Amino acid sequence: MRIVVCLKVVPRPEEVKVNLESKTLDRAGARSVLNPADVNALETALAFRDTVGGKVTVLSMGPPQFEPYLRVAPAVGADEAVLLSDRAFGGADTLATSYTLATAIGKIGGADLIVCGEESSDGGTSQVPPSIAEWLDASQATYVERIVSGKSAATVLATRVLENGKETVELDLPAVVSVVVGANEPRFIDYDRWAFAQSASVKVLDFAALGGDPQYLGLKGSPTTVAGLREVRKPGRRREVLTVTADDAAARIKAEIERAGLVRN
Amino acid sequence: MTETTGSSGAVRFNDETWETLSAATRANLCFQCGTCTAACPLADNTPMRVRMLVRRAQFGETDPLIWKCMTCAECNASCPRGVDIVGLVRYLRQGKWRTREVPKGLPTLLWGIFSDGNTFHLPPKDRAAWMQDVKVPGRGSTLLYVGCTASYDPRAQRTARSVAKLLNLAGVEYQVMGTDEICCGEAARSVGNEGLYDDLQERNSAAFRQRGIERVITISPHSFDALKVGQAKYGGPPVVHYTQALEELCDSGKIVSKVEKRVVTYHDPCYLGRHQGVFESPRRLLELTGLKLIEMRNNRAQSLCCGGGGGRMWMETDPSERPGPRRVAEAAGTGAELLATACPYCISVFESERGSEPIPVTDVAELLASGARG
Repeated sequence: MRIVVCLKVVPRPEEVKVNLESKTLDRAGARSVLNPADVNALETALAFRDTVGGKVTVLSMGPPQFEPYLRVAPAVGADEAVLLSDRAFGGADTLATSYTLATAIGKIGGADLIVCGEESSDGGTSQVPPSIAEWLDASQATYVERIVSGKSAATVLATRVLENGKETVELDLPAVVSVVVGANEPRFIDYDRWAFAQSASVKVLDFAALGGDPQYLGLKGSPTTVAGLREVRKPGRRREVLTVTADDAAARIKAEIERAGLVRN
Repeated sequence: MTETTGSSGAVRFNDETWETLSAATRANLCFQCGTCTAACPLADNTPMRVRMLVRRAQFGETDPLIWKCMTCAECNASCPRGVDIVGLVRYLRQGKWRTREVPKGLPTLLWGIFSDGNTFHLPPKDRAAWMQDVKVPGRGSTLLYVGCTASYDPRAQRTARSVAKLLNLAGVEYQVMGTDEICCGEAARSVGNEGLYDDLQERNSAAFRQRGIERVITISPHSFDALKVGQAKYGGPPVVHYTQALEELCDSGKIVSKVEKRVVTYHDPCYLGRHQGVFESPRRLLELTGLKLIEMRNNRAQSLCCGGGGGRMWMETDPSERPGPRRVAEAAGTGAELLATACPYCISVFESERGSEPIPVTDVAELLASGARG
């Protein structure tokens, strides 16, 4: 089984500032982390590989300084790491990003299964995994918490988390799945592999190595424009301290909830 | 360390591992007298038996109950053969990381330390929030290493502020690392992840060198032990606990503290006392303030663990297995008006588990600061 995990390096949410004029995120000075849902995706992929065998490649797009973050993947058990890095890829929206990732997946030999996080903590669109599936004409399942072998070697079973329950679907391979954040507890770094992960080179592909249609790359390939941006303030908390005894606490709290109109009878 | 899971489900390690393990811990010398089990504070309320744990290791097996151990070292202190049982527990836990059979939640704890630099999953940018109104000189070659708990836990932050205020009062020139400070690795080491512990020691050592640090004062006895052991390997500066640093300042007359005369009892934190042998400094500080110190029956090397060591702060403990309430009851039973200690974990555990015992729990530095003048 050839498995590709798409991994994004994101700024720490609490350290990002929003530039209201340029309508972009100002990431200067913000420290980075691996996108949390992508770490769950990596664990899903490694656990599946551990049962069916095969190879896990992590794939990311970003500047060369993301390399150290990608080295974490081989340290937890991934087989190789690939970074797509070129000015030509910069300024990409979800369409251009998914095109670049899909092109790279073809370039590195294709994949049977592509595992992504449900969404990135900075962009938050959830559009990239389904778009990769479209570019590759692959089957897809979103909000997956678990993957197991299917009825034949050409399929996998993916369990999706829905609002009102769970659904298991059988996907023909190749397939793209997006994994819900918190789906599993990601295994921690194996320090016996740490030295290997530090010395193993992250394979960097630039535009020349990737190929692809420049019309679909980077800013040029991105039809999305941010039309407007406004600050939404959190509503203030309404709170009141009630001095109650254990005996009348429940009744008093119930009365307060009813008074606030929070329950319908 | 090579481990395989046999048909019985027991994890077995090979002879080579046993050779390494017994050379490091002297576990081969154990003759199964059971003194360790008799000394273990968990022996009467949990199924873990220290003697059994060592015996199973001698047969090449890892006892699945190793995670209950608080690494309090009562067993080490009592062993007539000098076996490093705490070392053995850490070693066996290391093997469990390799076979990925660790309790739920521990990988998440280590990811938090790895990516946020703390055990609380809180942003690194909030690490200096403990300081509030405290001004730090920011000069000199002494570092006040605050540690994760005293940086983020609102209760323990009070201890950190008290220590800083006392150092200020004494005119000590010192630095704090603020938002650049990272975890000492105590949690990683106690749950058996030596790799992360070592990585943090190396990074801390480089940071100390860059700042020209020649002496480190810690708030937590756990940081004290972790940094003292770890920095020795990386040629880092000497490390002391705050009770030692404050004792020096009191002795040289730079801090004078007098508080209302009350009766206090002192709980020896395992990592300050049994692990690092600091028994008298905190007691002297209490007495210098004019407090009357009375001892619990289990004091100094016989102190009873609060239950927070050995990574237990990050694992769920069934209420019936918690040693904290028994220790608070012992303290209250002395008739003391106050229970003083010098460890953020102990305070956290005692305050949450004292139940109906009316005895207030406090920190030695807080008592000292409450009555201090320069």
